[in-house]
Amino acid sequence: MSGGIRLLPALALLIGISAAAALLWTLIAPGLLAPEVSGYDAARMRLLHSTLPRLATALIAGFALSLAGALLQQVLRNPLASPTTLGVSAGAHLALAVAMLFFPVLLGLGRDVVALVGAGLAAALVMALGARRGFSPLTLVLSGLVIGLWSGALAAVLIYLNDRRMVSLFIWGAGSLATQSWEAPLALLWKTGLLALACGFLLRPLTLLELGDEEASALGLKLGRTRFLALALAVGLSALVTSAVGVIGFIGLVAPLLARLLGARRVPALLLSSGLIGALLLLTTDALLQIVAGMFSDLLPTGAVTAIFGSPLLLLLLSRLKIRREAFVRAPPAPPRRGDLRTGFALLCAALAVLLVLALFLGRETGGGWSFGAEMLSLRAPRVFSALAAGAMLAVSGLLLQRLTGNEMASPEVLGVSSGATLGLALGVFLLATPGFAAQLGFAGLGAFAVLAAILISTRRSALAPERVLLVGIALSALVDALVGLMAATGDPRALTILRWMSGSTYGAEASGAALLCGAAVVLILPALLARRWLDLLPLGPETASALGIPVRSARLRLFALAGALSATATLGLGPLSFVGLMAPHLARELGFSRAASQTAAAALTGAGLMVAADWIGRTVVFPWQIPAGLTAALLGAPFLILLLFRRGRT
Amino acid sequence: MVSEAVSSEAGAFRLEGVGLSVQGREILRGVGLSFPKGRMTALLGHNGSGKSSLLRIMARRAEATRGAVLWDGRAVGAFGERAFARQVAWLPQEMGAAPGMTLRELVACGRYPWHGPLGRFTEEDGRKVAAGIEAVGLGGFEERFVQTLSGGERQRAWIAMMLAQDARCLLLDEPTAALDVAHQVEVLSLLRGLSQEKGLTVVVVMHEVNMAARFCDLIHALKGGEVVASGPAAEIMTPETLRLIYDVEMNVTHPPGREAPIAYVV
Repeated sequence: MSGGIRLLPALALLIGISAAAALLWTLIAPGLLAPEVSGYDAARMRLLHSTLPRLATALIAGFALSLAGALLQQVLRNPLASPTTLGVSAGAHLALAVAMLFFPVLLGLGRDVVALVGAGLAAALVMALGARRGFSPLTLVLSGLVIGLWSGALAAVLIYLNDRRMVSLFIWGAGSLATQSWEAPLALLWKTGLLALACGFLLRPLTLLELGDEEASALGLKLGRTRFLALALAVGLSALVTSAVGVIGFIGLVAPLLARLLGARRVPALLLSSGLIGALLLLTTDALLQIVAGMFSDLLPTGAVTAIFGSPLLLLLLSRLKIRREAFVRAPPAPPRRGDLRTGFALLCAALAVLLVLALFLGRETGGGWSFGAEMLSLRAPRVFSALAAGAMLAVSGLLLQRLTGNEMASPEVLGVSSGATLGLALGVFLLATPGFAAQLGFAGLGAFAVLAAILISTRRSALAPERVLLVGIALSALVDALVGLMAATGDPRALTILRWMSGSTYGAEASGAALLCGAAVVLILPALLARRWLDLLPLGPETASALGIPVRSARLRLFALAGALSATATLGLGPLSFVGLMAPHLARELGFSRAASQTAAAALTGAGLMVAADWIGRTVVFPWQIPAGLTAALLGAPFLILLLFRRGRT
Repeated sequence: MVSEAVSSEAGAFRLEGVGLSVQGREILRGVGLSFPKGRMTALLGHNGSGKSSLLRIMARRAEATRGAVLWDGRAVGAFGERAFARQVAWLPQEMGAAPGMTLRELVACGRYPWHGPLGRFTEEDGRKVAAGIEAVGLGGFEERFVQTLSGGERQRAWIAMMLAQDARCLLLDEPTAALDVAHQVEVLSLLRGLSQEKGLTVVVVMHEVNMAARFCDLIHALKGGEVVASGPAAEIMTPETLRLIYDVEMNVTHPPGREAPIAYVV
């Protein structure tokens, strides 16, 4: 990389600054230019106590988050690190939500402390996972994403179970900058200011880190202490911001990247310019939001908006970023045990049958006691069979994606295919009010295919390199989540429908819908079984597969389309958050089914069983309340994913 | 010997004026070569000479921007995917890890061009698989997982898959790069035996000029994307030709009791 300021980015920066200035003027002018009135002056009051503190908050939060991002990127030598991608902000958010609901006394001790603990725990977990892989960029980002998703899922359960008290928490959680006084920005200013100054001590150590570990320690640098301090500062900065204004996505990722593109090379320049660019970015976004949304800007969380702008930018940058091939996606897993297939299938079917009987006949009575009987069958059967069909379809979709991308971390949930279906469905609900099943399926399918197409197009040049597919999927699901969050935050009654459906509730399942889902499951899983030879050969790599005469391009397209159709249909029944598509294929392989055909069948059975179990647990454990099946599965599934990362790390 | 083979198109590769440009950069220029049936031919050249690209063009992994590539007298583009795979087998430089597959399952993949996505896996298929494993000397390893095999065994497992493919032509991109001398000799003698006994057309991209001279009938040498030398191994092994290929002062010695001469850097 050559140093110095580059012309084009500098020009872009100039345009950005001018645009920000123009936006600011539009916001401030009414209060500033209004003729002076003695006594009550509404315009001036608004300027002094609402607009200006909000802008100040944006500046400080943007600076702090971007500084944190730059620190993380520098110390982890990972261009994708940021408070968002490492799950630090989400950890802080979850800690605050838990404290608010269950231990309000803790908040009395100090919100910042609670947020710090949450952020610190999330960071420690991500680092522990990353350390096993030498802090490889992809492992860190993946663990961060999983922890972020898990925190989000848990927070969603809390909201769902306590929705009246939690709506404001939801809006805040999405990163709202609205404020009515100078108190918040001033408090944030001195706290983050102290931490920012402390970064000064790390400038030289961080510069030395550029040389590489060996050389840096040869020069007398204490590697461990430097890393720990830098991480602690970054975590502190993001926790403070999260505690004050909630989760503001992607600023901390984008600003340092932009700083680098602008030619900032040395550590001091990089940290400072990242902070400034971040401040400018958040300020512009918020000003733009205030102008565009007008009266409603208090309800539209800026954090969701930054995610909407930030994730496409991340997508764009990804295509230029050079990521070295990661051993971890290519490293073959330990050879599976090979069981007797017939016994295996018999056991799986028996287990599923037992689960079905439990789910259909065993339940809780109004008094809270357990009952076993067929009285509730007509109510239970539809939801049990929807869960079953959706679980089987998700599992097969996950298996297809894992085999197609040669990537064991792939699944409709992780790749954002489910999120795409959600977005499509949300659009459908907003456009048609009460779409029927066919219309719902159409919209969900459209969304799922849009995400798949985006993944295929943006990874075309790298021939579907697993790490790129994953990262693109992550970026897309962040985008979709932000959009859906934005819709939900508008307070529209239709949004509540979407929110409930997103949590993966099978509550509203009807007999006709369940029958349709089961039918779809049969029709869509069959082709996957027929394609068994393609699925066996494609993981050998495109070169080998085509040398053997497989029309690789069209085979891949067809299988991707099948995976998209499967996850769109399943998402309809179950919502986007479940991790069944990730878990089931792994479980099937662990059980000894490793060839495509047997693994497909076993994964479908496992996925069906998992979802039936999740549905049953969700409606009995917290009786008389219910946890939606999708959320139950997600809460069980994320730790599973972490376990998987841990285990792979050991090899 | 060469002209005689060229006259017969059956089971032979013929390249006419093949050129390849990628983003305005010429990688191959006016390559006209023949790879006769029943002969083992080495493609030699320095790094970046275009030998791998040429092999990829023959394997239809890349398309020539100019010229004609003929297999069996027909343009390679005229074959369907599976039809071509029944004729020409190709082993890329880097192979997949084949996670969770046993050796027999991997080799059975080579039968795909014959049975297709839905066809039955016949007894005939099973015999070819067994024969492929036997030919590379991996009998008894059938149920081992590919990922647990050593580097040399894995290389031979992939060659077994190629053999099970039952093609008339084998294209191999540096099949001996990861092997020690003993295994290099083993793999190359196996390929030579196949070309002589079954009349297969074998094309091997190689680095080692002495190995090429020892095992191959013909040597085609590329330099900067053009053919600089082509002919029977013995004709290539002269100080003048070697200097032309590698731009290094080289000499050749004829040790007693060995047919192929040995080249060395002066």
